[in-house]
Amino acid sequence: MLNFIFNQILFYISIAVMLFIPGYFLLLAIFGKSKILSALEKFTLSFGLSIIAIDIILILLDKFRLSINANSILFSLIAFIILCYAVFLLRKEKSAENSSDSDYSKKQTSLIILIIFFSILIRAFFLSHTIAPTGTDLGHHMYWTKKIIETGKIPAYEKIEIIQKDNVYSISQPSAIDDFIIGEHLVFASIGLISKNDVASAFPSITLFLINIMGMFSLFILAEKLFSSLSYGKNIAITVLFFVGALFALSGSQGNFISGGVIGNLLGNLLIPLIFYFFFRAISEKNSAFFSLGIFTSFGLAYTHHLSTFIFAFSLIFVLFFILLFKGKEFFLEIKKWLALIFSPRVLAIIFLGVIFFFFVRMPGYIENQAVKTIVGEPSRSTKAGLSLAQIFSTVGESRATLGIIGIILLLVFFKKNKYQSALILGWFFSIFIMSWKPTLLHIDIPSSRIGNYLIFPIILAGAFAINWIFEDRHYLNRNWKLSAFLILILYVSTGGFMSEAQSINPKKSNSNFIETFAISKYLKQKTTAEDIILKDHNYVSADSWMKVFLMRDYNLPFTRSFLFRYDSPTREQCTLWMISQPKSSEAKKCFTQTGTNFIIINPHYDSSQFSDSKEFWKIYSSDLIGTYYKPKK
Amino acid sequence: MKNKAIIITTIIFFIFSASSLAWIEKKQSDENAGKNWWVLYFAEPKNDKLNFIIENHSDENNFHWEILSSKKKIQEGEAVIKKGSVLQLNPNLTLASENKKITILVISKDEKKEIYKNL
Repeated sequence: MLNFIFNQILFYISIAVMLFIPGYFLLLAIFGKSKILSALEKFTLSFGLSIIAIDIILILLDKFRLSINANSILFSLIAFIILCYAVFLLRKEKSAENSSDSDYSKKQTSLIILIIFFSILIRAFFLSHTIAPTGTDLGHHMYWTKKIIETGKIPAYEKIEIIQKDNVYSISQPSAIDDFIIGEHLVFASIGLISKNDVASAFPSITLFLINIMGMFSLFILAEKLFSSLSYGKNIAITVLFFVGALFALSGSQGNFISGGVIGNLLGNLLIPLIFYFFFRAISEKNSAFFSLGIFTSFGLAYTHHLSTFIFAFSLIFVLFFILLFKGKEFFLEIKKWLALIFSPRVLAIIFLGVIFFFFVRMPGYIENQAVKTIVGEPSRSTKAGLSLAQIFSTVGESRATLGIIGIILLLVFFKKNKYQSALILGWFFSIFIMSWKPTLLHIDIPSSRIGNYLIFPIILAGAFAINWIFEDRHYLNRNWKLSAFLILILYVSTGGFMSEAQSINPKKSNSNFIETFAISKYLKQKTTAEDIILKDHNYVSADSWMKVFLMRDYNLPFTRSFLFRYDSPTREQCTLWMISQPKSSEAKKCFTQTGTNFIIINPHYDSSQFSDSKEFWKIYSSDLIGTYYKPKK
Repeated sequence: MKNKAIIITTIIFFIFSASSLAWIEKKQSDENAGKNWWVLYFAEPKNDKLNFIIENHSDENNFHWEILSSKKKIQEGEAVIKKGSVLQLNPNLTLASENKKITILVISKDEKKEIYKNL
């Protein structure tokens, strides 16, 4: 128990040190103690900026061939903090700036606290069933995180594969993987190193939980600023918090993404609203400091998640299009003002440093590997050919989508009141809507459902605007009528929302099957060497992606019999299927010989009979859900 | 000030729920707490040796083991293994001839598990 308490204290100290303090000092260096940011804004921005600062620090450590470990991270952080503090001291006298008007009434504060309470409670309840480290994606990501922790270096994202050439099967040399980006792993590695927590524990999911909560705040502070000119702007922001916090707590790239370990999307949903926040404030307040932070955060996003970066880039283009549409001839005058911001010393400095970093320190992996080419072009699979409108509605949630669409229509009709705000929400919405509905129009080749999840944030902004516009801005309507209609609408949206959330909570998920997978992993770690080639089944073995985290031999080891439908592809190797499904066949025998595969892990309830009546296999391990066979050399 | 109240309550809610989740995960990851399973495996899986291990994470403590040579029982015994304990058994066998399937069969209550080597 004492050990647990000590471990928890160390974990929260690590979180504070790694995920809040660097960003806080960066903001201090830029804004001093001015009141330009509210406490809540500082809290949220510190988190996002810390993630990027940590990424940069760790990449630089690696570039200068310094080992990434607890000491080097702490020393670098201290140096970063001293640097930021020195800048703050130098610019201290210029601290007088306008104050950020985001203080709430007592009632509003109580409501916000209540919403936050439910937002955290719903997520925590959901996660209580899925907190054990079992998510497939999380397992993939934690392999790389552990690799950084164990080697003290940034890993080469490579894997070996079973390949077929001229009817001969072999194991390939390691080849580059495009799917992973270093920013997804450095934060976890640094927390793991400082807190001494094992990656196969609750800490990655709890960190994702925090990222998700802070993503909720990032949309909240964006809404605060977007609608600050409206008399009911704060109520819109509170409605946004209610939607993103409580109504969308689980579905739509939130709670379910935490337990699944969809790190990139969660980080994207944190950073994209922050970037819009910085650029919006930069342009509306003509403030180059915000512009430089917008560039800095965009730069950080590029090192964190390729899909989010791609979606953000498209959204930005659409936002610019809507600004052009709404501003007309004024647009070019606007551009002049923007250029003045861009050519300010701090923005130029950030761009210069960014370029140096990009070309001389490290490029994002997907640029280096030219992986961008793989997501541009005609849809290569039906899953990339776009979602139907019904599917999009289902992704977002019907009631919430309805309200969001009303908001979008209202913004289109009444855009003149708030041109930038309308352009931002509309551009953000339409870019993602078209990417997920008709990707061919934009010539992109990405799974449409993954893009569809990004619709939720602009839909929330539009929906919150709609509900407040309808009920707060109509002074000529009867008060009682308004209240009744408001309650009915909230009930409709909440019922729809909570019903879809309830489907996400599946107590059956709370099982301990993964324990047996972890047990066989530890056994094989002890009993096998790098010469042994292990094959496991993904269809029926629980938490199988975590096996590689125990073995730490290669990202692709153990090899996997994947979902059976995947073998329908004519270009896919069939060895991993044959060696488990029909191990006595001549094809499988050839695969065993040519790949050297000698250990097979299966779920005995599904796949034991084909091995048990063969003299070529020894059954060496037996538990309720795991059977392991060894194929000795003849 | 109200902003700070929001931040402080968020931190408190988060730490409370995250600590609860960490505690739940600790319990879920404990091989014994609330679990009922056991496992049988060879101590040396890659060679001819028949040393085997029973690792008990179940509430049942009594185990019966048998060694079969081509389905014929050649040795048997009883073992008491407490929950969370491991027992290694090293059978001393002289096998008459090769080409035999040597099976280790372990029974605990109604549950049966076997491992084997084709020697």
